Formats: sequence, structure tokens, C-alpha cells
Amino acid sequence: MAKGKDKKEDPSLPEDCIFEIFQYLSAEDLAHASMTCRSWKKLSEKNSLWQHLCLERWRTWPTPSPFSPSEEPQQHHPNPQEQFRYTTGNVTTSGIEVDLNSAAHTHHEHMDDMLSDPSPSRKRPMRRPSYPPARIEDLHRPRDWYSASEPPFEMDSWKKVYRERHEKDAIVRELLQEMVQDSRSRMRHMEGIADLGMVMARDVLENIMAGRDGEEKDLSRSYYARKTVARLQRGWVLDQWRAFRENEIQFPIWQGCGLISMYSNQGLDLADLDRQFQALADEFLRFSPMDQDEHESVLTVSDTAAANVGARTFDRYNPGPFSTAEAQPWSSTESHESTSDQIAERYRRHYERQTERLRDLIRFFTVEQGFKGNVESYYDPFNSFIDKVLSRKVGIPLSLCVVFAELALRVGVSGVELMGIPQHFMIRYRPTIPAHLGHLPGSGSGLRSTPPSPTPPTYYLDLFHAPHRLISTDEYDDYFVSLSIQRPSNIYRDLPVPPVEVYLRCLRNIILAVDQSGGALRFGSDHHNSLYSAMSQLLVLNPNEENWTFYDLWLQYLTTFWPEDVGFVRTAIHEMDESEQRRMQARGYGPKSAPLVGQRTHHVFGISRGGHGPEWLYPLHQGSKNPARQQTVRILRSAVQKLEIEDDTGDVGFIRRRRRPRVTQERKSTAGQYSGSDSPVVTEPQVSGSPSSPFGRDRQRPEPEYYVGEVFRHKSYRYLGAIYGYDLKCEQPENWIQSMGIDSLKYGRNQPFYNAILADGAQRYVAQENVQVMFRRKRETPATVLFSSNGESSSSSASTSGAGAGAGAGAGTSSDSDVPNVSFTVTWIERDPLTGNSVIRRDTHTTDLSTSEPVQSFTHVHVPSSSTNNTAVEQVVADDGDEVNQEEGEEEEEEEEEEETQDETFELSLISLEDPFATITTPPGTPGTPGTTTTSISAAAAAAAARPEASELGPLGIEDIGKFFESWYTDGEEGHYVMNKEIRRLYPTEDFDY
Amino acid sequence: MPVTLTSLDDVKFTVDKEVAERSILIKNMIEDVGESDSPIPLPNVSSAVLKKVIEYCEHHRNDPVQVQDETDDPRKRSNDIEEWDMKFMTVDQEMLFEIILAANYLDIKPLLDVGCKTVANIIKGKTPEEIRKVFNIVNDFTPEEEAQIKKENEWAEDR
Repeated sequence: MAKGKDKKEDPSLPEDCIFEIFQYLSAEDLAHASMTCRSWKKLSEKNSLWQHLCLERWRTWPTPSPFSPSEEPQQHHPNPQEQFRYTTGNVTTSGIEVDLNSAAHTHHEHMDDMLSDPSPSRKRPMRRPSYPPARIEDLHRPRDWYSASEPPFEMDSWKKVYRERHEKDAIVRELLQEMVQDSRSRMRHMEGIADLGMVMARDVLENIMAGRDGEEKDLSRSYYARKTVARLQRGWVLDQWRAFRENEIQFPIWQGCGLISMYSNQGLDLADLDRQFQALADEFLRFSPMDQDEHESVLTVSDTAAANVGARTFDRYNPGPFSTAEAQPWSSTESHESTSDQIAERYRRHYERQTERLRDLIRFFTVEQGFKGNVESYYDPFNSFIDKVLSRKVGIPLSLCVVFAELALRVGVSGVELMGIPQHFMIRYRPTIPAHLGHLPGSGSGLRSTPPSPTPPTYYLDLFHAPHRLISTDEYDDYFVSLSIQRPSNIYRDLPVPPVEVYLRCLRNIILAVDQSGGALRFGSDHHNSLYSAMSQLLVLNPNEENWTFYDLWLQYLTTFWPEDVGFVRTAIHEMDESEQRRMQARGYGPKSAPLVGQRTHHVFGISRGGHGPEWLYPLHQGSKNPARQQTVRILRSAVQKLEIEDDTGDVGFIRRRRRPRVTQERKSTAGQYSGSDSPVVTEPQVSGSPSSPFGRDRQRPEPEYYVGEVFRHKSYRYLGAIYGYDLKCEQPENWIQSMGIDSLKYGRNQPFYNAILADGAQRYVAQENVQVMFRRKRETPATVLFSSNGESSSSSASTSGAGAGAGAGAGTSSDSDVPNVSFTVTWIERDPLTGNSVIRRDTHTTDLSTSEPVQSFTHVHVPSSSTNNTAVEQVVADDGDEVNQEEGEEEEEEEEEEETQDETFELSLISLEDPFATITTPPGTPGTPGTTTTSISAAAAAAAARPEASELGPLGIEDIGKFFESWYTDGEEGHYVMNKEIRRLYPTEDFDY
Repeated sequence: MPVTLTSLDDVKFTVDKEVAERSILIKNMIEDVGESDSPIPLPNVSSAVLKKVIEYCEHHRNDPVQVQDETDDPRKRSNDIEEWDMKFMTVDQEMLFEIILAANYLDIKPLLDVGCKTVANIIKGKTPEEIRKVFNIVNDFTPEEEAQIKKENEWAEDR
């Protein structure tokens, strides 16, 4: 309360008024208010005020824990092990209806007793929410979860929560800033953010990405924020799998498949998938509403569930609708004491009705919605991603079955189970027996211990091969004959496939698909994203020896494209060590006799083999000196080491820029392939540290014309982007080439393709003919001649015969003389348009025409003239073993060659500027050796020749791109990016309007 | 039908019932007592303040009744004051506080809100010392307490 010195002069306001006023204050003002006096402090620290401020500023919150038993919507998906145990029961839909919390718990405690070492995922409470959230969207419903009196993070006041998050935000911002400004330790900084956890870091990063909440709109920050969120999401997904593997969480199968997709699809949200499924279900229900009873009960149940905490998605799995709906025949059975015939009749009718409904659903799914097997492109990895299956409506058997089973559940058709058989995946359907507890004797346990009289019929359904009709048990055998698949053993026919098997199969399918479509050996496409995603998840979900062979390729991908994921490698090493420890423990405390090699010691944990717990995952049977294990750990460790060193030195980017390839001695062997050899043949781009990288590329022409860092506009799609890398020809897999119609381009696939980052951070692969470079303007004045002499004799200054090309002709004149060596030096001053600093550039060009293996060397000297940022003198030498003909027409060739080699030098220097590690330092070629003639030409003309219309913006680092774009947003959604005003002012000739 | 209101210093104001009923207090009184000609005494409000309050109510006589949804209220903003209200509120601080007190007493929510927003805007961006000065608050912290509080709220200084 304000204390008036003089009551009359300044009346004091009652506390409730002050409090009212406080509600309008920002956190900062409120903090100030709290520092004035005791009563204001007390008032200003009320939880309701700060809760409001917190919830307004941050959307992402940890799920509260522990949940009270009544609030555990996630738990009704049973643990897969238990599901296995209930294999004889057919009342489940993939076991979904069986409530087995207690069993899962027992299992847990047991594990804890047995293992002195807690599971790795439990050691990092901040890395993932403390209880199964199963989807990130759930984190956004804090109002339901926290009361004013119970703040999250086990803190005692919301003000402290605010302060905590405020400070964490600052840390995130700071680390991000470090990442943007300094290429060194980027990985480390990103891991620092990852250590804060998804919950803490996500909001501020998203704000930065969107330029919301007072965050500057800066594409560079946005770019790294996006990268970081993607990294967080991948880590989060892996944490989910780890927890799933350890039986800590369960989730419906579609969510598991959604997780698989989320690893590589940053924008994917399980809530979104949920909506898509629900939209499908609603569509079906519009045509074919549930029975009145069913429908009402479903409504009731979902309303209740919606009111329940965070249960929106999971009410679909509430057995309520089915059991209550189907309680009808049972309750009447009991109350009326009907005869067994009547009961049987009721059953039959019930089954018929159910099956009819399933047929409706199949029709809806395959005909109306048009879901079908992707026969044309079976090995498209997207067939395995559930989000893609929903949007493209094509899939492979497994993914179609998952989608169908989920849909069935949502429209109230129960009894649909996934049936995984070798080489195929199908649906098994058995109309459910009404399982309403209390009415059905013996149903309480979920076991069909006393099956009621008429056994429900069983059907099988193939969603991949048309016609999609229900196959009865009688037709079952013949069906496989017709598919030319060996009839699977009965075990597959009768047992539901455990969720973990579904996931593993799905992941293996992705790997197989990429492999089959020939993408596994090439980097840089969606396929590789898919492959990396699948391998990462597979190695977490099943880190068994059988998968260790994947580590090699996985590491290649990771170190090349996702170096920020180095933490995953560390975790893998940690888990390997841990499994070894467990193994030792198991030996020490297990049975007297050490387990024989090859023998699994399941009994050590007292768990039946039915589970998929750690005893499956950690190969206990290995000898301690397992060479495979040692080898694996060794390559993992060396990868971490390598990445860490790279990170320290800054030679690690999220996008590894490919160098302009250097002409080397390899040239000799390949020169013959090209008649005339008028252009330098380039060797494979070097990706440092991965000599075994499977880069296979042909040597193709035309040559790349554009520089890394150049900003361009796409000729037909008009978007703006910046080049960060290129291939000499299209390196995308065949089906990409086909689908993009690359061959219909003028130069088809045999032209350079550029990796480009667009203003919005998206990436494209653009054919050279579609690139229209921006900001390239002719120099208005020739560069100043500083220096133009070399060697003993200074002969004719080139008389330029034409603009641009004339310089080349000038050089060509030198070869008119009989002296076989040509050498010239070109020096010019260039102003760096970014820094405004003057830079002296000098090129030395020597051609030894007398030897059969001529050496052509270029020296590019980059001398900072003043206190520029470029401190190092960089020398780039391109050795060119190009054969120079002395026949007629050499002028032309010489000219061409010169231009091209000059180009190359320039590009080398460009890249060396932005990437100090690309600099190749070699002693410059010796000019003016005895018996040579050195030709000095007009530097200005040479410069014009050497640098035709050089990009004035020069090289843009990926980091710099953000400076040249600005963006606007509409309704919180991402809008477009445009060049900012500064650029428009500098380059008024370009039309930047969208 | 007009209603007569009597202020603390016994000044009578006659206003339309519609205007008077902007005050929930008066509205309830009229409902409880029934319509009568006898003036309604408002012993907590001086004539100067009551005049202001009536001015406000006259201007807002046709406003729709505010729906009370305290629970789902998004964060309150103090930068959405209408222009007329803003002008209306440009009074000295004493009067401002008096108006808030009267609005609180008479239960005129919109006026109370506007008053509070105005005060909040005064607090905005001020240091604790400045706030004390404006509101005549006596610093009753011990030096130790003050140091502690300062430390606790340090975060609010950055960004």
C-alpha cells in the first residue's frame, strides 16, 4: 500500500487497487515495484501475477510430475512386453485396451533392483520431460497443468520461475550469438543450448526464428536457431526412444511412427498428425455414423477425457467407447438370462454388424480416400513416413496398416490388429468381444480364459495389394500362394506384432528403401536425411550388435552433415560402456557358471523372453574382448575426437562448403578423355577427413560459373537464394531427377547444380541454367595498375583487341614468340564492398610451354592494405597440368584457358577468404626461369579478363546472408523474405518486389 | 427517470438512472430499495470527484456492459486506453487516486480499469526510487533486505 506522507495531499490506494494496477505491469516494472517497500513487495510477488506473466511469455512447459493416478491418460497403452504375454487374448487392438500399468511398474522396480546403474535416459532429467509427453504439443497446455500455487520446476514461486526462464533465455541468446559470430565451438555452443533442454530453449529459439517478442529479425540468428531447434528435436526424439526402450513410456503406434518422422521433419507436430487422423475419422463417421449407442458413449467419453488433463489425444485409446457400447448384448444377456441360442444369435449379429462396418471402412480407406500401395515406387523412403503416407495416400504395407488400424480405432471399429509377417504386413481382424468389465465373466483380466460360446470369425486384410477384401481363415493359405510368398508360420497369424517390432521394421524399411533406390552412397538429398534419421533411431532403439555395422555409415553422415549431433555419438559410447558394465555385473552376480558365448542370459533379470527390455538390447553374451565392440567404440570415439577438434578450430559448419576443386596431378590421367583439353578438369571436391566418403561423380561439363556465396534469383521460380555448394552434375537420385523433370532442361542433368540456401532457410538444388546471379555488375572503372612486371624481359604490353576477351588475346600474343614459357602477373586493387577496405590482389601466371607436362601456376596474393579484417596473406596456387597446344587456334584456347583458370584462382581465393582451411599454401611457381619470356600485360586488361563481372558483393558467408534479407510475418506465420533497404539502395537496378 | 446522488460534502447531483447505473453499487441499491425520489448518499465521495465520475458515466452511458471473464482474461494491457478516457484521466495525481478509490467504491469496473492503467503507465519504466517518489512510498527495508532484494531482481535490469 502506498503510504501517503500527507493523507490529504495524496490519498493511499487500498491493496486491491494496487494489485489491480500491478496486473498491468510488465515483469520488469513489477520487479521494480517490488523493490520499493515491504507491502508492495508482498503484493507484487503474488503468484497469480507472475503465473500470468510466465504463461504469456513462454508456451512450452514441462509436463507436471508426478501425475496422480487418475491423471494418467498416457498409461493406457500397455507395455509391449505385457502385450506379448497376453497374446492369447484377442480382445485387444494391438493390446491397446488392456490396462497394465501395474505390471509395467513391477517390471520397472524389478529392473531398478537388478541394476545398480540407472538407465542412461534417467540420468538426464532435463533432456526430456519427466513423464511421457508423447507429443510436444502437449507442452503447450500449461493452464491445465499448473495452478497459481503450484509452479513448475518444483519452485516455490512463479516469480522465481520467471526469473529462471528469463535467465535461461538470456543464456540461449548468448550461446546463439556466439554461434553466429564465431565459427569456432559452434557445436559446443549448440550443445550448451541442448543441455538446457527442449522445454527451456524452445520458446526463445522459436521467437528468434520468427522475430517475435522483441527478437531482432536477423536471418543468421534465425538460421542457427532453426538448426538448434532441429538438433533439439532430434535429441528429443532419441530420448523418447530411449525411454520407450527402457519401458519408461508407452505411446500409441501412430505416435511412434510420428516420432520416426519427427526426427527428420522439424515442422512435424504430433498434434497435427492427430488432427489429420481425426479429420479422416470424422469424414468416415459422416458417411457411416456409429450406432447410436456407440456414438453417444464415444461423445461422452471424449468429453470427459477432454476435460481431463492433457488427454486430448489419448482419449482415442480409452477403451470406454467400445466397452460401453458393446456392453449392450452382455448386460441384456445377464439381466434376461437368455438361452445360449439367443446368446449365440446375439453374438452372430454383433459380429456381422462389426464386420460390415469394417468393410465400410475398407471401402472408405481404399476407394474414397484412395489409400494404396505405392507399387510404382515401392522403394521411396517416404512410403515409410506416416506423415507422408497421410498426405500422399500411398505407402507400403506396414505404413498403410498403421494408418488403417489407427483410423479403425477412431471410428469405433475395434479388433483390428497389426500382423507382421516375413516379407509382408497385414491387418488381422477379429470382431471384439464386448469387454465391459463386470458384465463379462472372466474378462476382467483381459484374457479370454472363458471364451463365450461363438468364437468370433477372424479375417485378414491386405492393404497393399488390391483388391482389398477380407480374407477368411480358409482362404488364408491360398492367399500367400497367390502372392508368391511363403506361407508364414502360424505364430505370425496368431500373435500381435509388438510395437517395438513395428518401429524397428519401419526403420529398417527406410534404410532398405534408400539402399534400394541407390541413394545410400550419395550425400545431400532427402534420401540421406531419411537414411540418417532411420539409422540414428534404429541405433538407439536397438543398439544391438547386429546393427553396429550401421555405425560406420551413420558416422559418415553425422560428421559430414550433422556435426552438431556429436552428442549422440557420445551417448552411444556411453551406452556401449554401460552395457559392458551391465554385462560384467550380470556375470558377477548372475549364475555361478559364466554364460557361454552365444547364450543369452535372460534369467539373470528374471524376465521372460517375451519382453523387449534391455536384456534383448544389450548383447550379454559377448566376450569382454569382443573385437566388434572394441572396434565400434573405437570408431565412435575417433569420430567424436575429430568433430571436437574441428569444432575447436572452427572448421565445421552446418553446411560444409565445398571447395572449388583444385586441379591436381590426377589431371594427367584424365586429360586424354577430353579432346582439346581446353578446360581444367576438376578433381573430386575434398571433404576433409572423410577420404572414404562415397562421393562418386563423373567429370562433366559445362563448368560451374557461379561462386559460392553469390546471391541469385531462380530464373523461373523467382526466389532468392545464395549458393553454398555445387555439384558438377546433378547428383540427386534417379527418381528425383525424374520427378523434377531435370532431363527436360536445356542442359539436362549434365550441368552444374548448386546447393542453395534460400532466404527462409530452405534449401534447394538448382540447375546452373536456372541461376540468375544478382549483384554482378561490370566494373565502371578498371582496377588501378599497381604493378606489372615479371621476369627478365618485359615485352609487349598487350594491345587489347576487344573488351574483356581482349586481355586473353593479349596473353595469347606471348605464345607467338618461340619462347615456350609464359608468365605474367596481374595485380589490382579491389575494394571489399562489405568492409570498404582496399585489398591488393596479384596473380602470377606462368606457363611452361616447353615441357611435355606443362606447369601452369597461379599465385594469388591477397594483401590487406590497411587494418582490414583479413589479416592473413593468403596464397593460392593452382597447378594446372593442362596441355597447351602450340598449334593454330591456340590463341583461342589460351584465352579460354586463361579465363577459366583465372576464374578458378579467383574462386579459390574467394573460398579461402571465407574458409581459412580451404587455403592451400604452396610456394608460388617460379616465374622467369632461364629461357623464358615473361610477358607483362596491362593489369587492367588482365583484371578485366581475370575477373569478368565479378560479384561485387563478393563471397557471402552463410552467416552473412541474413544481413541482406529482411522478412515480414503475418499472423505469426512465416511470411516472405525480401532484400533489405540497404541492398535495394545499393543495387537499385534490380527489382526486388515480390 | 433521474436519480439524485449526494456527495460527502452534501452536494446533490441529479443524473439519469441509466447513467447512475453504470455504478454497480448504485444499481444494486436501486434494485434493493426500489425506485424512490430520495437522494442516494455517497458518503465516501467528494463532490469534486463525484462530478468527474458522473462525467465519465455520462460519456460511457451507452457502452455495453462488460462481460466478466476474469479467468480466461489474456494478459491485461495498459496501452489500450481510449482517447477520450486518456484525456479524462489527465488530472493531477491526487484526483487520479481519488477517482480510482471512488470507482472502486462505486463499483464502476471500466473506470477502475482505466484508472489503474493510467497509474500503471506512470510506474512503467521507472526505477524503484522514482516510484517511491511518485507514490510517496517510504522505504521500509533494512539495508540488508534491500541488498537482498536488489540481488533477487537483478535480472530485470538486463535485456
